[in-house]
Amino acid sequence: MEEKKVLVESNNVSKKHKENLAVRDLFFEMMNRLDKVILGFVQKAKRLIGFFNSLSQKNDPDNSAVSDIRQAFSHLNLKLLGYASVGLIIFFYSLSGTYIVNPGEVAIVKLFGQVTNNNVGEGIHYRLPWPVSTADIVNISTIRREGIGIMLPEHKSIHSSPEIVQFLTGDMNIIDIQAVAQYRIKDAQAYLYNVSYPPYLLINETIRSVITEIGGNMKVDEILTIGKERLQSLIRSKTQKILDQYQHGLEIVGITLNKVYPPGDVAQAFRDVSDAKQDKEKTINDARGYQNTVIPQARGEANRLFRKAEAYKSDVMNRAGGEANRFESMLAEYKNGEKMYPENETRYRLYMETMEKVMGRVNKYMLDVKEGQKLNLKFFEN
Amino acid sequence: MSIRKILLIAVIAVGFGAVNLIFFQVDLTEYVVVTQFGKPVRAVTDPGLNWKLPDPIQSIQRFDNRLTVFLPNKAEFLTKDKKNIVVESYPAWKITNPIEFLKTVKDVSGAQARLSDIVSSELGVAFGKYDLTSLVTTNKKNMKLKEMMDGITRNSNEKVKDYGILIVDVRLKVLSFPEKNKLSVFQRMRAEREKIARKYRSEGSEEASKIRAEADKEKTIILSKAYEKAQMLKGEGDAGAIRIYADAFQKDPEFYKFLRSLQAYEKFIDKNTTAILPTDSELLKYFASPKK
Repeated sequence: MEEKKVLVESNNVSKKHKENLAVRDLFFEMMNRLDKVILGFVQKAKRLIGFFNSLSQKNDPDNSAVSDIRQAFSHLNLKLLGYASVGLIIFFYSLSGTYIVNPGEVAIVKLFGQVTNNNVGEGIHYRLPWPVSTADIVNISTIRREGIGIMLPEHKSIHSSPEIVQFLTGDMNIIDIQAVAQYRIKDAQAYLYNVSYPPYLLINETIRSVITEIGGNMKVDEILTIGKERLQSLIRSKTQKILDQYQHGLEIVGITLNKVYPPGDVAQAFRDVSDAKQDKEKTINDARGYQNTVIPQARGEANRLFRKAEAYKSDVMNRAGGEANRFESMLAEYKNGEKMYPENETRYRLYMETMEKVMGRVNKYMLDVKEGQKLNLKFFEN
Repeated sequence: MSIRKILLIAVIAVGFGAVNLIFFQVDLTEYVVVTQFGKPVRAVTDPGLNWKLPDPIQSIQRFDNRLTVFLPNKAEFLTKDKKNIVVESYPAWKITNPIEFLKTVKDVSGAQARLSDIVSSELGVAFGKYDLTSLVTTNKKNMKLKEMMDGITRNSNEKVKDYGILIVDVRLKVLSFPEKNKLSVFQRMRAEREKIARKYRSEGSEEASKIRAEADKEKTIILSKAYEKAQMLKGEGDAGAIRIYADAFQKDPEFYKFLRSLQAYEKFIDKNTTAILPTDSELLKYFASPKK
């Protein structure tokens, strides 16, 4: 039997308390064994003494061990036994050509190193026994993962710890990258017989070279912002192209960029750029806010001025109208009176009424003056 | 035991030996070279069952014909524009002619030694021909990396042809600056970022002051327009009033003057006024004498 199980990815499950139990068991076991060993020694020593005793009692064929054995197996036919065992060996040898293909697996059968069937599905199957024919079984349904610049837990046993993966962008910036590739075997025959390099390593090297190539053609800002998605799909398609060129029968199902970021202390400067972007937005928004308060205020003020002017206009014109009306009415009556009475005392009345009001509140001095007499008054104010 | 039996067993034993010494399997992942007294006589490249003269006359050597990857050590190169760069490359290669391979490099480690020498010398030559800015660039048209790598693959193949090896491709896993130069790269990156951040911030304040100025301007325009309109309205009002007054008062200007004077007296003569009235004034006409 030479069924190679390629790519054994062990997942260790050793747990602390299990270890403790094992240690305790081991201790008891050892104690037991020590007991047995001592007992065994004692018994062996007894037997040895007995053997020497039996040697001294010679010429007693019935008592020898060899004759005992002969006697015990005397009824067996040695010839028959020989044939039977040869038959059994041949039987088991030919039975060794049986193999089981589990769900999700595919077997490839080779006869003298030549592929005779490259797609044996799940179930129990038979081929000629080794070395005539062999069957290689591959799991083609499992999606495997490979980390680039990142240690995946399932790889601890087969990988050394990863170095930091950095690449140079088109504008000469150095960027750290952590990616995980999901892949599966799409062509079992190609996978088994075309490449003799561990598939996870091949994928790792290829993706790194693809990142070097693609990253070197993109701007750092593009990579860090909008380009991440694009970068993922570009890496995927390009890696696939190269793997196809290698005819490794692998298919990249997906690439996930976990981390694409400038290294260490440079990151702070990059963060500051995005802060600055936000600051810019904020400053502009503040200005917009100012604009949005100032202009409506101005419009309100303008409206107020306008209304005030309108009010003034109405006020002035209404007053004028009112006064004009009043005058006209008075005039009409005045004229009427003038017509009817030659001496119109309306005018005199109006005059006197006004004087009455006015003179009522002023300081008055009366000067008795003869008719036609002139009078000079001088005022001195102190 | 009879003679026949012994003979039978002997024949079977010799037969088994012969099977092992004469027949051999060739797996599809390998090429086999048959050597006669150590000298290669033929290569079997097709999988299947084959035979040869028994050992020790003819023996076989097996070679893996699958693609494999060789990782040479990190190397530093100088580009045409005198930039120091660190390169990690890997050639993917396979054996195509097992006899040549056996004659020249003997085994995989021998092949790796040659590959390492050839690929690194080709890399050195190629980098000397290209500027770093044409290998790492944001300008798609200017990108020469693929061209360079294809050239390296081609030239290396030319040199490994005699070893029975085919290089499928040479790829660059790492193309970066040496550790000691990275510090200055980081400094430059930081300076660039600071510049960009500053640019963003000043763009922000520029835009903001533009917006504010625009707003102030608009405010002034709105208010002055409003003033204009208001004045116009007021003027209209005043004009209307003048017209109305004029229309009314021109009917009897004398009476108007009389009334208006009375109104004015009423207003401007207040309690601080001192009036000195001669007794012969019209007001006191009857004060002096009640005569008609």
